[in-house]
Amino acid sequence: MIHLTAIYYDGRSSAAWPAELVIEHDRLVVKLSETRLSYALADIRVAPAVGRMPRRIDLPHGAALEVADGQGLAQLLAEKTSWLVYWESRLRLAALAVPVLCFAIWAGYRWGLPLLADAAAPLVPVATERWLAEQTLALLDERWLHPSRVPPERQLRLRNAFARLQREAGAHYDYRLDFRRGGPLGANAFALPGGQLVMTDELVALARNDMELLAVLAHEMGHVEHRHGVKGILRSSGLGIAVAMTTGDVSAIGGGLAGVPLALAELRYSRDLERDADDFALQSLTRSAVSPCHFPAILERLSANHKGGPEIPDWMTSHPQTRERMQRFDQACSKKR
Amino acid sequence: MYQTEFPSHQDGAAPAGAGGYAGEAEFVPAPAVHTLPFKFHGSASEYFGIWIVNLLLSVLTLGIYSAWAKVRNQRYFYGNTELAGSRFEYHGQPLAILKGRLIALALLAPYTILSQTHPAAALGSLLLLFLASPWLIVRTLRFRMHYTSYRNLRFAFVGTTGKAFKYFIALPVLGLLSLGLALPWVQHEQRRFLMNNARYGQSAFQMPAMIGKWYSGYLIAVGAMMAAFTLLMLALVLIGGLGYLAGFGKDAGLIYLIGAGVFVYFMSLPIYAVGGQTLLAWLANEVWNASRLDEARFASTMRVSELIKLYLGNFFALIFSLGLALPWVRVRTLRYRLDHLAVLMPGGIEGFNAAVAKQEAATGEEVADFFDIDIAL
Repeated sequence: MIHLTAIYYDGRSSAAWPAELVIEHDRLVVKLSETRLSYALADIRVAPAVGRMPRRIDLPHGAALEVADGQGLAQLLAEKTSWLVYWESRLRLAALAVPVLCFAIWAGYRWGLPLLADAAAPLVPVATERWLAEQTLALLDERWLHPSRVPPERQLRLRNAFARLQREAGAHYDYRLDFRRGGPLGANAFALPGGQLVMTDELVALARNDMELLAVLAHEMGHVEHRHGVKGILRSSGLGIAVAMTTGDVSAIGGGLAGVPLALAELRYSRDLERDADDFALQSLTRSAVSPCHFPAILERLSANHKGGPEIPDWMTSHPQTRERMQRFDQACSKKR
Repeated sequence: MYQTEFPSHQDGAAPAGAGGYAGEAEFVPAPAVHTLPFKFHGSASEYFGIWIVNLLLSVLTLGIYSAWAKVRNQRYFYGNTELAGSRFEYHGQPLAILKGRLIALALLAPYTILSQTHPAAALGSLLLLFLASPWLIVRTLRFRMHYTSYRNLRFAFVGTTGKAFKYFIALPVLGLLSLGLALPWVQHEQRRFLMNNARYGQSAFQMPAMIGKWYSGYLIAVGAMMAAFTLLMLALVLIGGLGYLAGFGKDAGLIYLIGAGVFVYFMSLPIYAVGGQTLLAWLANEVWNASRLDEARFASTMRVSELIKLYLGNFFALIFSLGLALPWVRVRTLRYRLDHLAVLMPGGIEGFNAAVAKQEAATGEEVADFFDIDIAL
């Protein structure tokens, strides 16, 4: 018969009484110096083992036992070794968790979160996308953009050509093309959720012909058709939430340090979405009357336009390197020549 | 070891003859004061296994298991803290914690998404959070303390949300209006609110007013941090000057300037972190030394120099290990604090009695955790 020493607390005061535990007839017997208490095993609650520390047994009527010998208690109650405790206590086995953890986090970031965010994107109604776009455009107009100086005939011509491109590409959205003077944004075009596209005067001036501008619009269409605006927001938010969820009780370093890696991680998502838009542009241009070759042409022109600044490494930018983007079009381009 | 004597009656009353006066002016010698030191039995290697396995499971279950992980982690620290032969215990229920986390997620998600597109809305949510903080803080403390026990008597927090509003909204606003000069006083009042509403069984903690400590602490801490910055800048200027004298050109100078700027930015983190943590720990030290729990007093012997070494070590260990040293950091920090804390008890520690029990929901704690509300005692 196994005897275990324990400490008995009656739950009404902080007094501690020495006790001895045995199992008799499937009941737990607690032998105090002057009394004997007996409990059915079903009535007591034994706390799960954590490491090698003493274990607690909750008794009815608010009393409790503290048992120093965790192993002994496990034997006394004929407990099976929990796989969790086994894993936690074997340091080499636990150390294996480190690479697995790193891989799991990497996989979650690279594939898991984008998948979840992309799956959640259709839940966002188009009306919300349009609302987001309105707010963003208002903000941009307030801060950086000015009314366009592109002559109305040119704007109309581009809009008509764009309408044709939409038909040929099989667009699902109602698009709206607006022009603005870019100011600090320079030669640029961007897509807002819900179909609002904006093109800057500087980009119109930079292009050699309307086809090149249509190629850019095809890329921007890709952002809208594949709901990149919403997906991007969901992915970035998801990252922030995931970090908060798993490190819920870690406040050692604080938000400041996590901010930089988080921003870099978000940029990767942005580059993925840009590549996706490039693919869409390639496919839709191939189907249309506009040659895909115009896209690498305008890319090259844009890149030359921005030259003079330092070469920003790939992992720091929101867009993939221009060379890489142009290479995707090389094949299709030589075909349609 | 636990006491070998115990009362002969079962109702747990304090042992007779603990030094009360019988109403006559006779000299009764004060009972001997026992020094009961805390002791931490955990180890970094043991905790690492628990920590990493539970972290992996949390990640693999997309965070659902994290509630169980939290309970295990807390139980490890509480259960390895010993005082007078008995251990502390954490009774948190994983399901209740999970519910709290899901609610926190429901609150956090719109804030995160909105802040991407709408800085104004994000600001609004922060304001709402600030207004809700008294409720969150009270719930968190009630939960945390109710689920902590020592010798099977529960701790408790009896502060009300109404009072918390005064200490966590009204006073901070006043503090801000004073251009920050009143902020140490505000924090001191908050700490008194927390301590004086904490209970162990039927007994109440008492913290006396000690505003002087707060102001001297803050002044010294701010002074020390500014001194550290100044020394840092001086050193960088010196190096830059030497470089200039040695004939480095303008390009090299520009790179050095940018590099120095980045270096200062990165060094500001340990300076603030270590400075802030040391200050808070020192204040806690002073609070414990002055506070009481009925007749029990506390002796906290932490020293500023040792705290600075501790927190500096923690900071760089975490950085260079990319966070893997967290188990070691936690164990090391708690061990230091417990090694330097003791209870001074006239008579025995078995004289405390239980209060009437109450069931508390977990909602507050997890929500407060996420929004970084720090209410460490």
